[in-house]
Amino acid sequence: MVAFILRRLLQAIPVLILSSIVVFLIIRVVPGDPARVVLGLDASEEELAAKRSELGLDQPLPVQYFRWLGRVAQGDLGNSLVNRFPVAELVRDKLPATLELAIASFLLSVLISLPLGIFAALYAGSWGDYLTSVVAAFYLGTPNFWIGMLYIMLFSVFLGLLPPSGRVAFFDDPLLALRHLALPALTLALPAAMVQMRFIRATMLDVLGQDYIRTARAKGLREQTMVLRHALRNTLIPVVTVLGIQFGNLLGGAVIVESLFAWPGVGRMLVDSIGNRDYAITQAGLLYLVGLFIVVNLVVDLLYGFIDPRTRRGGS
Amino acid sequence: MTNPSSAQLDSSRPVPHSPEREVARVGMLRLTLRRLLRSPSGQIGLVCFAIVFCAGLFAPILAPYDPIEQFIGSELQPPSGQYWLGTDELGRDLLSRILYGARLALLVGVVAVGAGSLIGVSLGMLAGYLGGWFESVTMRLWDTLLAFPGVLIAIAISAMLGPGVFNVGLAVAIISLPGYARLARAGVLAEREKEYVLAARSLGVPVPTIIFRHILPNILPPILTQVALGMASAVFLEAGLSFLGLGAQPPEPSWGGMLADSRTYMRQAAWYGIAPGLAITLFLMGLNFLADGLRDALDPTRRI
Repeated sequence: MVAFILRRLLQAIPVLILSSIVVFLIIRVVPGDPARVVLGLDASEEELAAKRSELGLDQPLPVQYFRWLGRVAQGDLGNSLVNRFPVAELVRDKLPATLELAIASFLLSVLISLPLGIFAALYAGSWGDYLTSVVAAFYLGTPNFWIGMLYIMLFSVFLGLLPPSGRVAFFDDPLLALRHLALPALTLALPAAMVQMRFIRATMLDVLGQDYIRTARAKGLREQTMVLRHALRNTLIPVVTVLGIQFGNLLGGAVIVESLFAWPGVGRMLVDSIGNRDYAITQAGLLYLVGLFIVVNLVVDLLYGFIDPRTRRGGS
Repeated sequence: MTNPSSAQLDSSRPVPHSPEREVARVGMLRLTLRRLLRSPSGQIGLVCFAIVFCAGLFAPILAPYDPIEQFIGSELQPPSGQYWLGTDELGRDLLSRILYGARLALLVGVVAVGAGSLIGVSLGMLAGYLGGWFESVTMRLWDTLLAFPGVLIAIAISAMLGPGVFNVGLAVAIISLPGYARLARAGVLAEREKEYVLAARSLGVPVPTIIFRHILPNILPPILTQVALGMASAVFLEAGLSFLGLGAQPPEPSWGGMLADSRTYMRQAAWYGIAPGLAITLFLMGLNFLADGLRDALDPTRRI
C-alpha cells in the first residue's frame, strides 16, 4: 500500500509542474505590460522600467518562473493589480463558498443518482427505466447555465419561493443559507447525477448478470438482501472512481454556475478577474481550482486502491 | 471440395448473410453510415444536426433581418408576426440572431474538431506506430492534459489569448487532443501487426503512407464518434465561455452571449432566454444522439 501511495504521488508531480507552468505563463503571455497595468497610462518610461525591475519582469522567463514558484510555495500569491489586496487572502475568503457549493452539489447528486441508478437497473427495460434515460438525455444535452436560468425563472421570478442569487453563511442563518444554496446546488447536481445514474445502472446490470448473484438467487435469498448486500457492494467499487471524477468536474462547472447565481466563490472571482484584467487574481484562482482538482483525483485514486486491493499492483 | 474464394465470387449462389462479408463488400465506412441511417438515435441526431447546419449555412437567406440591425422603438418586443421570436434589449431581431448564431456554433465546432482531430489523430497514430520515447512523452502529456477540468483550461487559454471565437475554438481543440490521440494510438496498436501492414512494410512503403493511407481508413470509424462528441463539447464550451463574456464579443450573435444578455430581463421578457437555450439544446442533443448512433453502428458485437 505504501508503494502504491508513493507511486501515485510521483505520478502527480508532472501534472503539478505543467499546471504551474501554464498558470505562471498566463500573466506573461497576455497582451499588455503588467507594469503599465499597475502604474496606469500616465507613467513615464523610467517609472515603468523601475516597476518592471521591482516585479522581476526584466529577468529571463525561467528565473521568473522559479522565483514565482518559490513565493507560491510560501503562500505568497502577490497583490491584486487593481486594488493591491494580497491575493492569497482574497482566495482564502472565497474558497469556503466554492467548497460549500461543490460538496452540497456532490451530496445531492449522489442522493439522486444512487436510488435512480439501482431502480433503472432492477427494472431495466420498463417504462420507468425508459423515463430515466429520457430525463438523463435531456440534462446531458442541455447546458447547465440555461437550466439554472430556467430554475431562476420558475422558482424565483414566477413562484417567488427561492432567492435568485447571493449567499448567506451557514452559521449566520442555516435556513436562509440553505435557501440560497438550493438553486445553484441543484443546477450543478442534476447533470452530474444523470452521468452517475447511467454509470450505476450499467455497472449494476453487469453485476446482476454475474454467477454469484444467480447462486444467491438460487439459494432463495430475498431480493432486497441480494441487491443491498451482494450486488450493491460490488457495484460501488467502480462507481467511486466516477464519483471522484464528478466531484472534480463540479469544481470546474462551478465557475459558470457561480457567475450565474452571483455566488461569491473562487470561480466567480476568476471570471471577474479576467474581465478586470487583474491577472494576479486569475493566476491564483486557477492555481487553487486546479490544485484542488488534482488533490481530489489523488484522494480518489488512493481510496480506490484501498477499496479494491487489485489496483495497488503496478502496470496498467 | 468447394473453393471458398470461388464461392464468394459467384454472385448467383445464395450465401448466408454474414456481417464480415458485408464489411468486405461495402467497406467499413459505408457500412457504418448505412447502419447509422437505420438506428433511431442516428436518425434523430442527423435531423437535429441537419437543422442547425442548414440554419447556419442559409442564415443570410433565412434570416428576416440583419442580425446586428437595431430597430429603435422595438426593444424587448415579445414574439409577434413581425418578429417571430421577439427582439432583444437593443431592438435586434432574435430569430435572425439565432440563425446567425448557428453559424458561429458550427464555426467553433469545425475549427475545434478540425484542428483537434487532425493534430490529435496524427500524433496518436505516430505514437502507436513508432513507440519508444515519442510514445512515452506524448502519452504523459495527454495524461497531464486530462488531469485538468476542460472548462478551466478553456478559461485559462481565453485569459491568455484574449476573448474571441477563434481562441475558443483553439482552446477546445487543445482540450480535445488527448481524446483523439489515445483513440488513434489504440487503433494503431491493434492494426500494427496485421498482415496488410506487414506486407506494406516488407514492400518498403514509406511510414507516413502506411500510417495515413493504409491504417487510417481502418481505424477511422471510432474516431468519427469522438468527432461528434468533440463537436458537442465545443458547442457547449463556446456557449459557456460566451455566457461568461470570454467567447464571442458583441455585437457578434452567439447563443451563449444571448443567454447572458437575457439574464437582466428575466422579469420583463421571460421568452428572451428561451429560444437561444433551445437552440443550444437542440444542437447538443443532436450531436449526443449522433454519437450514440455511431457507437451503435460500430458496436463490434453487431458484427459477430
